[in-house]
Amino acid sequence: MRLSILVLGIFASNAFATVPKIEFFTESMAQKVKVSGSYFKGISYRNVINRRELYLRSNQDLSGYYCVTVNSIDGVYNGELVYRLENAPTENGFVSLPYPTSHIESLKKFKPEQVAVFARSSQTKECHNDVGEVLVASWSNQPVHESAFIYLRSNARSDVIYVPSVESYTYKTKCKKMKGVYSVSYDRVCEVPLEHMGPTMEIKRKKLSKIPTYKLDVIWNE
Amino acid sequence: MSKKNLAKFYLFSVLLKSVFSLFSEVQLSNRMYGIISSVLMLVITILLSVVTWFTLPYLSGKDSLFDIEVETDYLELSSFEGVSYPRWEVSNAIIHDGCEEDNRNLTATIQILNSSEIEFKVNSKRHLEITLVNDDEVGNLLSNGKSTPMSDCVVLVFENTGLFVFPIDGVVSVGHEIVSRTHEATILKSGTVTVADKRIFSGEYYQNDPVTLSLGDKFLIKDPVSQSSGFVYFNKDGSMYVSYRVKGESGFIQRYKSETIVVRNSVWDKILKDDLLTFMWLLILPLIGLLRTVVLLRR
Repeated sequence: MRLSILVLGIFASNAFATVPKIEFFTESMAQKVKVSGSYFKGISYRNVINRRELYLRSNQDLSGYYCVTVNSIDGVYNGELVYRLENAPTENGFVSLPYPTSHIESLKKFKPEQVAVFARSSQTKECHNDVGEVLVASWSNQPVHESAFIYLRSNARSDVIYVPSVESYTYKTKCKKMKGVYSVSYDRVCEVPLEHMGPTMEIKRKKLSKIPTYKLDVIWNE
Repeated sequence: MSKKNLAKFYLFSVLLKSVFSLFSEVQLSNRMYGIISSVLMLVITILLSVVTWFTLPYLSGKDSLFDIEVETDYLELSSFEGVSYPRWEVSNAIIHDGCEEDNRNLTATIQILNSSEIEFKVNSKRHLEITLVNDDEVGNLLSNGKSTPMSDCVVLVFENTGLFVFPIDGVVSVGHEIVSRTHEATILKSGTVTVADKRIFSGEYYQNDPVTLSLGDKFLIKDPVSQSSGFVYFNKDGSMYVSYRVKGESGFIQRYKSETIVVRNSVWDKILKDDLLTFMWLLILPLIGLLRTVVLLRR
């Protein structure tokens, strides 16, 4: 009896988890229409795109609206999605989401650092502002990663990441310029080893005029 | 092929044609024809081996000499295989040591560490800003016998009230991507790239017709085999000119909303510009013709 209640309980919790629903998806792949834009372009593990699935790093089930923007460094590919999740289950530290792209063969040709994914939570399905917690994205759910990579489009002289803050940090690293590629969407990459990652980060930007520090909240539940 | 060499080749062909006719008139013994055909076969084999051997380096072609001259508002420079940057003697420059608002006048010799990266940029006031970045200190200021380390991010500002020349050595890219920030217009204005290769036998360089760089282009050499050596010239108009030479296989012209254009000398360009090599390849044809004539006459 107790065993059957226990089994029912386990199956009941899974019954509340629904398939991720895509509220909005648009993408474009055009050599002739290149898209550039704002400062923070994404945070992800470094791996290649193999199939139409995107993974968000989380040790807890996810519910609510999640906005995802995918950009290739040359500005040729741009994809934007809004997911509505209800207890989307976590497995091996990742929540798996469908990425129904029509350009999978072209996306497979990009090197890992040539595609940036910006995934963040949102109160509503309108994703025009950048507020909300950011999630580390991955194109693979294999837990073999050493660092997270942050991608920026910056006009500052120097961008330095401090974990957790500039005032008191346990780790800092300078973001490096990306070389050799016509960088339209983003042009700097910052590597943060996983052992130094935390739920908050600040990016201090140096320019000859005053420029505010960029604050980042990351869903990083250990 | 030059006109002079073309004329020489024409005369040689006429001579060979005369030799052909002579052969058809003169009656020689079969043994003699046999000897002549063997000698011709040997000559053709040796000639074929020699020209193939000397043509092979053209096929790999990694060390074409690129000569670049541009007017640009932006240039990136990093060290080539750890080679040191030249020192710069500066006076009456403004230094922002820390890349923030604090600044002071500077007169000193600047020694930049080869792990630093350098960016030349003409700002909206038409002053030259040179940014040095490194994970640790970018280098040292040498003045009055003292060496003072700089921080990990330094900007040097040169106002357009004088003429400045900065020697550069390293890995260079000129031009900048077109971005959506309308208040920043740091792009390449114009320029040319000329590719030269060495003639195999003489070792002299010849030059091809220059390739034009257009407004907004970005140019770099893919996998350079030597450092880019040259200079940056900044004048009172607030214009920056760059002239440098580098060896490599090919250059890339990257453009906004366009495919990348590859600049290199093809194998055919290299062979045809090498007069002697072209002549030797063409010589094989009449020799084969002569051999054929001798073989037919022998029968």
